[in-house]
Amino acid sequence: MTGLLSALLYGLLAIDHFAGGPFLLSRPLVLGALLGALWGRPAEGLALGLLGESLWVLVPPAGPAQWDTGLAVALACVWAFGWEGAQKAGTPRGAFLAVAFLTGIPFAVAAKRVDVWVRRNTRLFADYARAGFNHGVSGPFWNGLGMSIVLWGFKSLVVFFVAENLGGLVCGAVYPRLGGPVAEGLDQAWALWPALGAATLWHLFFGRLGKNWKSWFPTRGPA
Amino acid sequence: MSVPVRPLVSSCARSVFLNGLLTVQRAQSLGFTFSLWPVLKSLYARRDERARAARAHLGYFSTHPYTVGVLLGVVAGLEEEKARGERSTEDVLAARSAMAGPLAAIGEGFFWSTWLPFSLAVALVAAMVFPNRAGEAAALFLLLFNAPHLGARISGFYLGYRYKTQVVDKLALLRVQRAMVALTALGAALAAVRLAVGPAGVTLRPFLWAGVFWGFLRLGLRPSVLAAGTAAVCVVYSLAKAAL
Repeated sequence: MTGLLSALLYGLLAIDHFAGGPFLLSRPLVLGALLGALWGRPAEGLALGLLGESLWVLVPPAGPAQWDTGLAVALACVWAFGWEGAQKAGTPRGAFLAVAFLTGIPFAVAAKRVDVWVRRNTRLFADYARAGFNHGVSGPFWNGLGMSIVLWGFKSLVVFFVAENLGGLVCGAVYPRLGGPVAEGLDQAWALWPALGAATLWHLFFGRLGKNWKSWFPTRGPA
Repeated sequence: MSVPVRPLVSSCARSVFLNGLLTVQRAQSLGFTFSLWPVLKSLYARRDERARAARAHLGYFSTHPYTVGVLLGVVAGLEEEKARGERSTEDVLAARSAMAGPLAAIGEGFFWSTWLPFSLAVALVAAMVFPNRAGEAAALFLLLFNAPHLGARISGFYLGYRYKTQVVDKLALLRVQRAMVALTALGAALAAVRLAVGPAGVTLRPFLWAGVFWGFLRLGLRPSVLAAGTAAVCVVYSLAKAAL
């Protein structure tokens, strides 16, 4: 039931990424916090969200031209919290979170192909709306927009379900066997990733400051 | 002939759907025409006149979704003048295409590259300061990011409509570039604070690791690849340590 709610939540919020604002509702941080709260693991959900957001802060929520970073974190949350029954006892928790996080990335990147395909095919709605404007009415745009929103929401649900099940097979196979030095290594990686997130932010900030260093100092304007 | 307040408010509110029916061929032109529709409807009572005015805006058009308010305001003001016979369609389209690119650049530079990372840095520090109310960091992130986003849409529309093509001079007074530098420096400092302060107090070890990662990022490695690489190196190190 919680898995279904997670999929519905993702499908609903992903509309913001494709057809609305964007108000950043489908960003990793928001999805991580919400899904963590949904599964009763708010701190871990937030940790996954903050990590995803830090690593992919430069990927703007600009529709299918960019991969949906929120999907990677949403999937990671479902695998990390929903497959707890399969997780080997005594293994550090960070190891499971690290496996879920790494498994989510290729699925989210692959889902971009589906996004591009859907965008190509929503041209039908766009042509319909354009014909409406050519005849002096805006009704077809409303209809096209409504159909587009339904389509994007449905696409997000399907992609989530497929990825959740395929990735679930991976996590379901890995989790019971995860232990010993491999689990220790993954747990260490999980502990190191926040430093990577901060480094990504610094890389962005220092890159911008480096380009604009002249504007740090007052300049004399044209006479 | 002037546009009443209600269509102007409606036009500004509809700008939320700018990316609604985005296509590769015409980008955001449909969303832009849809946003402008209440203005066109109030200016042209006849359907064929409205269609002619809308058709002019259906060519390729692309800008940043958060700075589109300025452009919508300018075009609404110019359309008003056009309806009075003071402007031509070419004037309106020339102003639109001349301003779309620079406004997109401002939006990209400010919102995506500065304000989004800054909001994240604030959320990171908030999650550290209030660990028991960590979930609210996400709400803070959303509020912090969307307040200027919505402000830019609404005030941009107002300024664009009021000053029309002269709005460029007014926007120059905002000193966006200076604000971006200040926010960038502050964001970097907040990220450093988050890194240094852990559950066990202030530590410098994470700085060392962040420096190493920063070096790899400077080499052009992607964060996702670096995350996977870190995991692989950590696993190999643990296996080697266990074997020895």
